[in-house]
Amino acid sequence: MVATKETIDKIKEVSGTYKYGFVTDLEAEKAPLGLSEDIVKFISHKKKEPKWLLEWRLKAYKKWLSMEAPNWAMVDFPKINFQDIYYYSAPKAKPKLNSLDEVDPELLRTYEKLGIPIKEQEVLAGVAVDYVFDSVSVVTTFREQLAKEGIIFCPISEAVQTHPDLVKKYIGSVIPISDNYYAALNSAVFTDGSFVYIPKGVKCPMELSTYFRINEQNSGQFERTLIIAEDNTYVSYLEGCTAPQRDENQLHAAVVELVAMDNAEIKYSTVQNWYPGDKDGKGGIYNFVTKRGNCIGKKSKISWTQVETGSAITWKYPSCVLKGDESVGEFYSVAVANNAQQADTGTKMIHIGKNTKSTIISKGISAGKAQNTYRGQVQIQKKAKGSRNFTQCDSLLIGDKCGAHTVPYINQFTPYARVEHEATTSKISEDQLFYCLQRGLDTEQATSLIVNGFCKEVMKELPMEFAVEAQKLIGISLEGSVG
Amino acid sequence: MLHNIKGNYITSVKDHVRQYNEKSFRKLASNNFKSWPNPREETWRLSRLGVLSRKEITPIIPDYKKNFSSFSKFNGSKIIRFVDGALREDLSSNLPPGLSLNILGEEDSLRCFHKFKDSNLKDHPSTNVSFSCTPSIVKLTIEKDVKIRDFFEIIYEGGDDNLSVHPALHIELKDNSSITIIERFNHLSSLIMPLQLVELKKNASMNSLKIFNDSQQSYNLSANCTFLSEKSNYNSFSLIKGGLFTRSETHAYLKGKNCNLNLNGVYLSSKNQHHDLTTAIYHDVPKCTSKQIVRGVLGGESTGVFQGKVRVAPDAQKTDGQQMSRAILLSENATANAKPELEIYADDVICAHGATVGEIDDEQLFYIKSRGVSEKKAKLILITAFLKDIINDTVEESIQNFVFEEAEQALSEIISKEI
Repeated sequence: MVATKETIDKIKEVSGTYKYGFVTDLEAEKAPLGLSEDIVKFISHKKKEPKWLLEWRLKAYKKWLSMEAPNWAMVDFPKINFQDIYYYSAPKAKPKLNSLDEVDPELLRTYEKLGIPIKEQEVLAGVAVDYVFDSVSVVTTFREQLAKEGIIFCPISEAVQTHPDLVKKYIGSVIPISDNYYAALNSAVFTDGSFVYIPKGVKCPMELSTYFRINEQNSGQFERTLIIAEDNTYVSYLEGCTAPQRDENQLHAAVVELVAMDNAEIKYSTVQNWYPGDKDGKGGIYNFVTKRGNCIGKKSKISWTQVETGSAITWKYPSCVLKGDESVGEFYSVAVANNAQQADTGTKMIHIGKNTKSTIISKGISAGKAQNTYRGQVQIQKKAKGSRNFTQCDSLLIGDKCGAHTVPYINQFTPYARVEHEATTSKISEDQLFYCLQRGLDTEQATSLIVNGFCKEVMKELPMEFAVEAQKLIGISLEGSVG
Repeated sequence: MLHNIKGNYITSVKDHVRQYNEKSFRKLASNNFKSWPNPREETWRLSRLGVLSRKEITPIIPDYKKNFSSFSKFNGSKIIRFVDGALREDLSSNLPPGLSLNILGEEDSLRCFHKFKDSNLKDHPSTNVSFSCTPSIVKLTIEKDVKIRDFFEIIYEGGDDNLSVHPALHIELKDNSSITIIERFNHLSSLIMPLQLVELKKNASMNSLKIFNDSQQSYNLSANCTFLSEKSNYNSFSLIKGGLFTRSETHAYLKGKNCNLNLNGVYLSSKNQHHDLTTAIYHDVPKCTSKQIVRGVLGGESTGVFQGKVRVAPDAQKTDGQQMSRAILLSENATANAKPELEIYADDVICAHGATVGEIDDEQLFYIKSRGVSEKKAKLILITAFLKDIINDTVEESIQNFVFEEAEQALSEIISKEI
């Protein structure tokens, strides 16, 4: 509990501004600016990748060239110049690290500033962490202990070397390279990310966690995460992200693929806190992420929980393909947009197997001049008899200059299933606010309390370590939006 | 023949307006019609028109000698009749005082055209094609303080295979007037593209009932643009049952404070029918309410679509927007799509939508069956109740029975095959 208190104290220090906006002064190795076939080859070479992966990357690159950036999302931003981005940036190569002591002290200080220092993670004793700094995974903790159970938790670039068969089999199996514009881009230039493999019958004894950080100027981050859960397994995976404060926009285009076999359960939680830009919308991260889970096995379950408070623009739809009979998909989301932030986020639940079930709970909060959109699809295919979906998306508006939008799609191809959707949009009720003020809270505290109550259904799905942080984050994100 | 260019509808529309000068609204409209909507366009993704580009269709030239005399469904109601898309005063009733029916001249027609062009119906194919090809735009005016108690029936008939019809009607209700209008679409054409512009002035009130019952091979792409002024009230109910493909698209602009809008509807689809109810409600000013209730019953290989959008502008505080859609699938091969959409830029609002799709509720069925009723009968009771519920809630009392009878015919067709 000491550690938790430390977290709270850390956050208390922060006074309303983006606390992760520091830059770590590290020597970095960068690829030349811009994107070309040579850059793709360079990245692949740098990673000492096998030939098949290079070919796969080049195929993705060709596909990407033939595609157009999607424009259907309710977000507005100038066209991205893909030639003005560094596609590879890594802290200068050091010999392979075995323990934290060998890590560059500058880096360690960065982790401490990130709010959940590594030491604390160790105290909590339940979390193994993989840190991805710009494009490269820097350190992974608790690997030996995990290895005893047969669990593989390592940077994906390492998995390519050590477990090429697994990577080859599953990479792109859930999100093919041609899936969408940003997924194709990621497939061509992804530099690192986490790889998790849970062998049959193993329940992962601790939470796995990754921290992503963009440090270098003008660099994009393209990480790729692949999680495979074999029969009768359980894994809970956490992901957090931050970036320095910079005036220009930086691109983050990640791909996350999950595969769940018979009776497997994957719980994937995200606290996304990329730099959102300043009050006028200058700078900030463009967060264009493709996340999808494939419930292949019978009775498998994939659960997405996300707290989205950062990024200038969020474009993200963690989805579940429910192929296995009786598989379950869940999506719990809180998206907070303040100032000039724009979020277009939601989920897709594709029911293919019999008796599949999905639940979607989405809470959107808009303040300032922000636009917040829920966009979701529930599709019940012909063979998905006995399937069930329940969707609830609520939006809360704070201030009269923001917008909240809801765009759900329901497509049902069989009568033997039921889909229910409900959505509401409103502001914080005067009664609730009055009640809190009367008890001596100021408007800001009262708003924070009410908003956290509004999000409670989602917050309770988060692992404990994240729940505390997420709750504070929401408070911080909304600071300055009332009164 | 001038109008028989094979397969290319765009060319035949252009031919149709050849005699008009460049400034004519017809020419302007025809210049805007470049192709059928691409299925990639968001609003046409679920209702695709690709097949139309492969059909040989030409705009109809109305035959003013055709005689139609389908009977009114109401005793003593007034009838306005359109044949081949053209107003036939000789087949219509005499109008009571306070009501007038005019054919619009070039200038007023242009004004109507601009009303559509300034709305989000500007790219709707019916907007551009029907303004090009309509025989004339007809205007029905209800004078100030006139309250019409008789029912008004507007019957659309005529048309033929491989021909398209283009009735265009402008209804204006002046201050404090009210009317109930029942429209019945009974065309035989391959393609029907009705246009309707409704303008409700201060405190005016209109009940509208539309029954889409065109022939089995018809495509009906109805485009309706409605403007509401202060304290006005528009209550509309669409019953879609006929045609191969029927899409009723209504855009309503709430422009005056304290107005009230109801856009309700039912689709009853069987065989390979495709029925689509698309609405867009624009709350532009404070203190208005809008409500939508939509229900569908689908059998055979039919497809049902409900797309409803509620947009609340930044200034439209105290808006109350509600939307509820429900669909029941009775057949394994039927498909239901729903896309209820909220776009909200004001904070002091109450907006909600709900959507459900499913089969008949098991528990309800069990309850009725446990009272000794056969499964078939029990299902019939539940579906009938499903429809009666919405009709009783949303349709004006005096025409509830009529609407239900109209619905029952289509319902029995679906049920006879599925239960």
